[in-house]
Amino acid sequence: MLSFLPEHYLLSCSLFLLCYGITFGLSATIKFPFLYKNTIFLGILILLNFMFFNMEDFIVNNIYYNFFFLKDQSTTIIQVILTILSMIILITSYFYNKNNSILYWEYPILIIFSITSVFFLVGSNEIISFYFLLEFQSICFYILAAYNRKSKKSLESGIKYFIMGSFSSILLLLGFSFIYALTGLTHFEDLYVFFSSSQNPSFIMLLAMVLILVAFMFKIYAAPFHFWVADVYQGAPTSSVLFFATIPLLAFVLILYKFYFIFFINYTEMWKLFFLVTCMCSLIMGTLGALYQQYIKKLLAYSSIMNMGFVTAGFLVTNPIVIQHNINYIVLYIINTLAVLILFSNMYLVNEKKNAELISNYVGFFKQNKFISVLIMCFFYSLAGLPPFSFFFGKLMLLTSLMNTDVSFIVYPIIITTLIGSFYYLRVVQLMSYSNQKQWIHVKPISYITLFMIICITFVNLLYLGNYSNLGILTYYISLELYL
Amino acid sequence: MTLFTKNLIFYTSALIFFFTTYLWITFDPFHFGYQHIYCIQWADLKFFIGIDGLSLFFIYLTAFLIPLCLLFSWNNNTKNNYYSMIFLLSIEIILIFFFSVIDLLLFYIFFEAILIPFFVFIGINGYRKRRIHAAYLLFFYTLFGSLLMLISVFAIYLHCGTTDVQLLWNAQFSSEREHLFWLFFFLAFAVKIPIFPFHIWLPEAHVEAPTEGSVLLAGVLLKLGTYGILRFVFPIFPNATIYYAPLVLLLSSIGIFYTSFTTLRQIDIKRIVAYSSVAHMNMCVIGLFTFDPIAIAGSILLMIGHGLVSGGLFFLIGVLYNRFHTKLIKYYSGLVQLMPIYAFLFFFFTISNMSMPATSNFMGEFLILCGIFFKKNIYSLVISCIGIFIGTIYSIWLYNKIHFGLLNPERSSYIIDVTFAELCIFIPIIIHILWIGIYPESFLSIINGALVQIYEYIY
Repeated sequence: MLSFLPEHYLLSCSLFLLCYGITFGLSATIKFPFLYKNTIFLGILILLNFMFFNMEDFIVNNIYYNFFFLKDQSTTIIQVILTILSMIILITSYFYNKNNSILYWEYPILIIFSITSVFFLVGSNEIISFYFLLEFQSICFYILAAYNRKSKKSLESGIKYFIMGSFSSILLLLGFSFIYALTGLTHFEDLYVFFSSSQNPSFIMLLAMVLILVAFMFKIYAAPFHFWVADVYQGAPTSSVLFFATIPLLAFVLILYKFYFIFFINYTEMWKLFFLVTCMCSLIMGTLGALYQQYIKKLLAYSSIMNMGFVTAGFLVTNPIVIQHNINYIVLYIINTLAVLILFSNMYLVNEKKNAELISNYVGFFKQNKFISVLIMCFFYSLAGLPPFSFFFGKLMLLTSLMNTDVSFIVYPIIITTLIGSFYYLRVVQLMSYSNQKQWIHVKPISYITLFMIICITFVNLLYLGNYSNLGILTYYISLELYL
Repeated sequence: MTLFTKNLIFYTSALIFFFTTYLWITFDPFHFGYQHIYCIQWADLKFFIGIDGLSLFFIYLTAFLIPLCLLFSWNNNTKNNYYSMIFLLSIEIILIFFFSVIDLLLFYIFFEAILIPFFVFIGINGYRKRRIHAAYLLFFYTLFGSLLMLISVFAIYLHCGTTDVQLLWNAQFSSEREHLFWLFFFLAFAVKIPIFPFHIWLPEAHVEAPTEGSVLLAGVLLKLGTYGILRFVFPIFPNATIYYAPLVLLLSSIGIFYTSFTTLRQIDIKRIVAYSSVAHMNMCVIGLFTFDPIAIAGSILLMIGHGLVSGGLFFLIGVLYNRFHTKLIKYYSGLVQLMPIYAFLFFFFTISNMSMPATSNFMGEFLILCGIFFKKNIYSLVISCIGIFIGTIYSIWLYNKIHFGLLNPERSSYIIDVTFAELCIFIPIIIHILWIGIYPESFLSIINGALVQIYEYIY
């Protein structure tokens, strides 16, 4: 029982927190107290404890729990990383929620529910539990997207996310049901045994494979299944976008790698063809879509799509080295995007009583607040791929390892789209530093905690020297060892 | 900006300059290889920093020009902004690292990292819309070449297993690979030098940049390209270099011819000097690709000299801009009556620009012409001589138009001659130009040591 303790702890504590919120938050006798700060504090405590429970018995071998879950070293590592990220998100989202007056105490609870579902999802070992948890996670995300009840755009983005998410889940379910129809098995280990000796797949089997892959492409914002991403990013409150842009990417990529070793180990031609098409589409649509954007969040959405193009290029080959560098790349991308979104979520225009969402709101910002704009410029230079920053090393490692394989031609489109992509990152830097404006942009000052978080992330960004990516090798090793 | 910070930054850069002279004094010209090697280690990574005969003078040039830029910008900030001095210091640090790393990947990192301060620095003080266009041109031309070079860097690392420069000099490639890598490397450096089809960013960037930016651009940044060619392209890809040499000579010749003639049509003084920079750098490239040790030595001397002369010319234009607030040539005439000392300084730099004997440019160009003559390259010889001749024409034309003629009384009130602070900027440059022109042996003795290494890989 000790071995599955972190998840048990998290689940029961989140339910307990919900009960706490209901009892005290809705009680008229103590006059409906303000519970947001309490739930944040308790939420961070829960996540901290979860992290320490996870790190307590780290070197233990695989833990099977209840036939539905499997916890190995890769899932533990992913859980620790995502915990740290969600703690940062919880702390820094307070300012945005306060400014836009969506200070409901359910927000931290929703975050913890979603992250719980993601943690269980990466460890699920069976088709049924996987689908169940996928729906759970998706519902939490839909509510997060529609969190700002007063804004029509937020509700619209929630509904869009709901429709597209349900659609992708349905495709996944259809794929899984075909697999069940053809094999009669639902457990991943049995399916591994089945697929490792499967040759000449029938049409329905291939169809099931493609449906599963398509559903995953929806979840990791890859083209040509990306059309809903920009609107959802724009409409949802930025404190939710902090969550969307970071957590699902890492989790679903890991699950996709797991699925490769279970299902697709013998179907490499189909896998490569699918990912080649997706990669090219993502790269092109990501760069072209971002060129004319005027809203920052939409720009970041298209940059997500482009970077996921890089990741799908990394999926083409499944060497241990390429997997390691791919996951390294995603983690660095997540850190950079998180920092950019935190900085932009805190820019609240005092006179117009809303967040500064247009890029043209930031013209001439450098002359006004050099510190914040230098930080923003730092992260945008990093996203564009300029040398001393961390994301350059991510790209370097991924491209170097890709060049060593039989798909080395993929490097050329990546380089060209990097060049085009660096334009729209630089445009923001240029707009902020060159200006003729005489008007000031009245922005509310950022809280100290947020600034502290951002400075920590900046240090990681500047001092990262490309050699500390041991987590990927663990994930591959464990995945391979598990099923041998 | 307080006086204390200004003093601090200036004395830091002066300290770096004195340290660089110490490096020159303790440099051993008979030891062919890297000297003063330091190892920087950070947890698992180790990289080496060292000076060669080649990099010594570029570091010296950088460390020499930046205190002058800081002096120039001391009282020149009209809008209460303090960051130009900090930018200059960061540019200096990046450049000094650039010229001293002995590692291909780090070379690439600093090659691109220099764009970060420059992109912001070019446009931050201007008012014209064109400066955004100029900054984008600078950035994307360089980035285009650099990204292709990145592919080559990866491929070389995967092929050879190392990025250490001295080990890479022994690498061998198949013919197709060598040609491909050579093309990518050359593209990256061709944008920086700039060679004919990729030279468009330079006049734009010079016009829009502030004076210190122009000085550093012309003085040091253009040398990044030729430094890279000498350090990487010649030793690592010798066969492809010899194979493609006629192409490069053709492009440079077209460059010299075209830019020298275009200069005569310009209306903006900075553009004239920018195009003459292009012509001089293309002359350096012609000298490099004739593969004669005399020509290569002359090319390096021309690079150093050009850095000094163009830096001085841009400082002079900056002085003019501070007084008259315009850079269009039609507003200037008869300045010799108003600012005679300035006219003398401008005359000295003009005759340096057109390579009069006893100046550095003459020494460089003369050695290049000797080398071309020994290798019997008739066409480049003819084009170079025509280029030098046209150089004379536009230099004298510029000087004549600005200084002689009738003085316009409406625009000449309250104009002071060169101040002592500005004189302190020009006199060291003049001393160095005359030093290289009259006694270049102190420079050539060190350059020859570095040349021996590079030359033996071509033959």
